[in-house]
Amino acid sequence: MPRGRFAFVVPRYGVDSAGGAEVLARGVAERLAASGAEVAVLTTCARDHATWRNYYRPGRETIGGVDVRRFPVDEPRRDEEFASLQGRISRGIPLSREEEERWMAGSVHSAPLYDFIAAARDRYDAFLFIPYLFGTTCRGMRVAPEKSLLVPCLHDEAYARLSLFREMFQAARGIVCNSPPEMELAVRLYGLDPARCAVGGMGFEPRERYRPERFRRRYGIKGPFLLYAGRRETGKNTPLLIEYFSIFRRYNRADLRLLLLGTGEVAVPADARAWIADLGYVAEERKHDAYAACLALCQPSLNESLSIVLMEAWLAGAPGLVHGDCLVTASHCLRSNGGLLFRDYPGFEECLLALLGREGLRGALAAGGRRYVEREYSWEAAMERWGRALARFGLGEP
Amino acid sequence: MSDKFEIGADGVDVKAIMREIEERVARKKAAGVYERYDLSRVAALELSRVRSEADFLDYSLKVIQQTWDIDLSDFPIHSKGGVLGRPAALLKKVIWKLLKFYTYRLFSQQKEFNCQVANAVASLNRKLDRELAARKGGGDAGRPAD
Repeated sequence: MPRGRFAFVVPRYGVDSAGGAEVLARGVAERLAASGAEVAVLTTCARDHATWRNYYRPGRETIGGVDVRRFPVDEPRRDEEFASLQGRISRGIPLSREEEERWMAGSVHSAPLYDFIAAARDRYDAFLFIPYLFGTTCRGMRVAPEKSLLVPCLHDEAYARLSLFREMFQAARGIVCNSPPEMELAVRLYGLDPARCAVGGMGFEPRERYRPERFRRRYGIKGPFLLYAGRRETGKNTPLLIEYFSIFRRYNRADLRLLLLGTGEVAVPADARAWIADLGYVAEERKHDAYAACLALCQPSLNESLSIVLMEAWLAGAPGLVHGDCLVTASHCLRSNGGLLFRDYPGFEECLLALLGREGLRGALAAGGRRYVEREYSWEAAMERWGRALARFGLGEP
Repeated sequence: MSDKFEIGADGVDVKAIMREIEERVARKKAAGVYERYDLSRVAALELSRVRSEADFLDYSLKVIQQTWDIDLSDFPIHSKGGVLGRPAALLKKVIWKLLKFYTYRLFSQQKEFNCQVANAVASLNRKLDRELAARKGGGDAGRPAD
């Protein structure tokens, strides 16, 4: 493992930061530090990604053996123009370069953080920016591009097509993706030389014990259920899942419920409330018990660069049911033989009927998924890839 | 360990299962099974179908048509278990009844407003379509003969 000096730059960081990029940053930073590298995390005082308000005190603290430096967030510049530009981007309407910069000004920024990167550019061998979409990455990388590694957590979305991101990807010293399909997407979108890209990702460990019966008892659940876990929002396709499931129950006699875990508002049609239960945010332990108890974990999102919940569910013994138009989760399922894919309602219905009706299918898929995570996404495997990736970019020993 | 991930673990073959599923869907489509399904709300939620600005306008119009009607009906409030589960559920029920009592008038007015706006937007869109079609037709008609 490289023994260099690395600084991770993330818009928020902490024990209670639940976003996938933050979990990835923390897992990799702590393991690099444990292997002997000098690791720091440069982040903001924000905790909430909706408002980016300063929450933590600026200064230094040690989290998981890593030196964390927090800098205050600049006054947000979100005005009517920002909302208008955001709307145009999401509708695929091209912006001028000046408009893109004005839109980026509305993202999360910290001038003291950028000043620190400039002052400390010789102190670190590399700055690792995670994820691509935020101001701290876009502006921070401009300070020392020759020392900047980008860990994009890239999705195939309208934002990814902005010219400022194309320049950012092209200027980076190297790109470290979470999965091969994400890397292929980056190469395709930005015309990158594949030699400047690598796959790192993160690792997962099975829990010592899963208690599916305890979960069922606690929530009074008797029959089979499909599980959704994660942020409930349009961008994650949660409304589509709710609609598909409502239709499934309307036209099928199968005794199946849909349980929703996580944060965010969720609207369940009145006639489907008998079949769909929203349990909201639950403790980590209960979430893993829910994975073990469910018929399958459904991941309908198209915007995934890895999908932590899919990996966790496989380790807990649940198969996946994913949207076939998501390059990453579809690839995981096909490579692992760990889950089924749907692209429209009829496909969704047939997948559920197969999972309910074919004896042994759930277990066989879950076993395939588990083997895949153990082989490709154990921490050992992930950190080996990280070591090779950093070596490829001239950082430390392979 | 290499950067090339292994493909096709032991056990089930997902590709083969997906082929079977696709065949079943094709047979059911041919038999007209899905024709009796109400899939009207699905199209507006399938974001993956939205590829261009024109698609997005179509998508937005569908969503407006499906969401203007605020659902003011009651919904089941269940206990989430534990010692505080039942009292919490009871408290939520009381709060909901009070909220509904005090906000029903406001939401009814909002619903009426939403309905008028949704109709106006749909009507404007139809008018725009007609004018664009007329302009296109007029342009073609006005072209000099070759």
